Amino acid sequence: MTARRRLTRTTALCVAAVALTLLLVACAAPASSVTAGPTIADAWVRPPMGPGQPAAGYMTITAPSGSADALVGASSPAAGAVEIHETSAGADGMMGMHPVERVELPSGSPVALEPGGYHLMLMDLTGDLTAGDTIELMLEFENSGEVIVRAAIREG
Amino acid sequence: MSVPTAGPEDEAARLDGAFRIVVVLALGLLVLTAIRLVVGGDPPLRAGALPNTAPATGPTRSPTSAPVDVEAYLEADVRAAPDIELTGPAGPLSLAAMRGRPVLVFFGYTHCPDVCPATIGTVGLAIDAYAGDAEAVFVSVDPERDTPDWLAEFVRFMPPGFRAVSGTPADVRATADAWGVRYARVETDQPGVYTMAHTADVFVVDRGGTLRARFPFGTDAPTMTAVLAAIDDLPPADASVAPNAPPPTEAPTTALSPVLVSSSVWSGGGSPVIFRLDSAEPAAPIEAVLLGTDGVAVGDPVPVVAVRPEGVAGVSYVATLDIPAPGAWRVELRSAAGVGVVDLTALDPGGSAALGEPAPAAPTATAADVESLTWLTTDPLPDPRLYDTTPADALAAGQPFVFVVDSYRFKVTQQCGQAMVMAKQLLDRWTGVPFIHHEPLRYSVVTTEPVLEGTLENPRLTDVAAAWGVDDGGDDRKSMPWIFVVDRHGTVRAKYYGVIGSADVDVILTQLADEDRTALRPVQDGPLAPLAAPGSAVRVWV
Repeated sequence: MTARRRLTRTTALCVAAVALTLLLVACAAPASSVTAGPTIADAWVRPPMGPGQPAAGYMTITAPSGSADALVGASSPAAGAVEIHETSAGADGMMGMHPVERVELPSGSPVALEPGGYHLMLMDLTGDLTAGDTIELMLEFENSGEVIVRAAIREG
Repeated sequence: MSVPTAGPEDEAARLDGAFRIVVVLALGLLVLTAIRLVVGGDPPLRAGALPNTAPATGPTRSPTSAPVDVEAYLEADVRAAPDIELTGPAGPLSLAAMRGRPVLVFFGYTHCPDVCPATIGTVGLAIDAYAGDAEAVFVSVDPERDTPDWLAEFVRFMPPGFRAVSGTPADVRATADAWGVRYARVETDQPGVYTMAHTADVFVVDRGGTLRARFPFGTDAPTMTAVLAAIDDLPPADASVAPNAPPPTEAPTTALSPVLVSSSVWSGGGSPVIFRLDSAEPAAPIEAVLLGTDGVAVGDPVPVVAVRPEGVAGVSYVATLDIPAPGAWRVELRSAAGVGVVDLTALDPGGSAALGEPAPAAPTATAADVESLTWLTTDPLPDPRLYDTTPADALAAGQPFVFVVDSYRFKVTQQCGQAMVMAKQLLDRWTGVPFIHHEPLRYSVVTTEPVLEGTLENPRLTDVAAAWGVDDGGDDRKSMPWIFVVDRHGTVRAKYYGVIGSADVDVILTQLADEDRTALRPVQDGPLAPLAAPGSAVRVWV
């Protein structure tokens, strides 16, 4: 056993200890806000195609491992009403759109709200949506309650 | 530790390996921790790129790092693009007059918040990156709302190089049909508010007016740009003499220009097929003959019945066809004015109640049989008229009826709930016709909430739903919702499943009313269904 090898082992043990400490800190400190609710990424809203038209909102939602959830509602100060909709293709290839009551969020699996699939319909907009701005979206989850995200306004 | 003969050196090496594993694990933990600290808390708000419109950096569905498989998007049969002669904010538009530039053509409607803006955005990016002189034409399939004035507002929100057009319902239907585009109006649960279901391909017409490529919905902009550039390198095609031109059956058959309206056409006999004609109403008689895709007639010609629903512009034509097998077929309409051919796809009816046969006699419950409508419907706002009679009572009264098999709450398909919405709309229009709703899945009521027996993946059908055969769609689809139209003799005359166009049931009920020579009665007070013009009349069976 050389001195170098002992050094390597000591370093490894230190690294492991630091990593474990950091992980514990990361898990413990914001546990109530981090591990309890779904994680939302890439929230964005496409401005409406004309006056009085609805806007569509998209994002990727991931329920934490071990606790499945469901998106059951949404609202926004920028819209009079927000509905969850799904675009789907019928047997004949026609794509149609319809409201859904909930979007299931399996534990640990990202679920995309994206063009041509699930999306939020923002209706009765209270003002203009300008690319580059952001708006608040309140997402209501079956198990995790309400989560507020800021969504970027952009074309897409 | 499965090597009992290991010497001291081996032991040292193994210990060393164990420590390497510790180091790797430690580093892994560090990385995980770092990710957790960076990503875990606040929802990250990256203005990341949308998958199907992403520039090269985004998570694209067909990554631009890989070469685009241009061939996959090119049309197998090179042919002249069908012309578009419709009207936009700036007046008439002719696709033929746009020759000399590549044109991307797609169909949609302006009240569409998801698919159409996504397509517009993607096509805009593709045209921009192409950096040539390409243009785009957006054809509205919703002429009722997308008037030229409204389109003038709409185009201000479109990228440069876009034009939006619409026209009369017949002109739009004929244009869409020529492009193989299907669409149907779908009601929502708000009276008068509807959406359009439509096919969402983007077509590429080259500088010479030849239809060269089509992109399914979701194709990303870099792919479109690559295909546009590749098409410029193709040798010009003279579509009129192209070796792969479509069968000549279409050339001399333009006199009638039939357009398929039916949202469900069935194999197995007795399927009513609804057409519109993009021409002046031809003199009777008109007949229809079923053709194979090879153009060979199958069976004898059948009479075509003209049907004029009250308050609806235009004439619908119904041919009741015996189609021997599911799949692709053609129908040729013949009149003294000429002939016309239209393509259709026949569905496999599976075990669903057969057309032309007596309707199943399974007894259903009415509101009088239960203490609360919650036992009969999962609709939170039920219309009591859907639950006040049974098929047997309707037949005893000599009335046709419409049987709606659908669930508001238990959605085994994405279309569930839409048939009930349509039934509610048509109730106001067809006050003389019983509409009977049936929940197809067994459930119990706990306090006031319906609770499904079994699971959505494996639900249990009611005896009534099983009797109507809705459990067996004949292929791997889940078959819901359904609408059956039964005439006053108790014969199943039409049936629809999945995405059901609002016009279908209206046309079939009008046809039955014509057959039975029913009386006309003015529309009652109350909300008018959007199909009915104010002051029009409804038919009642008296």
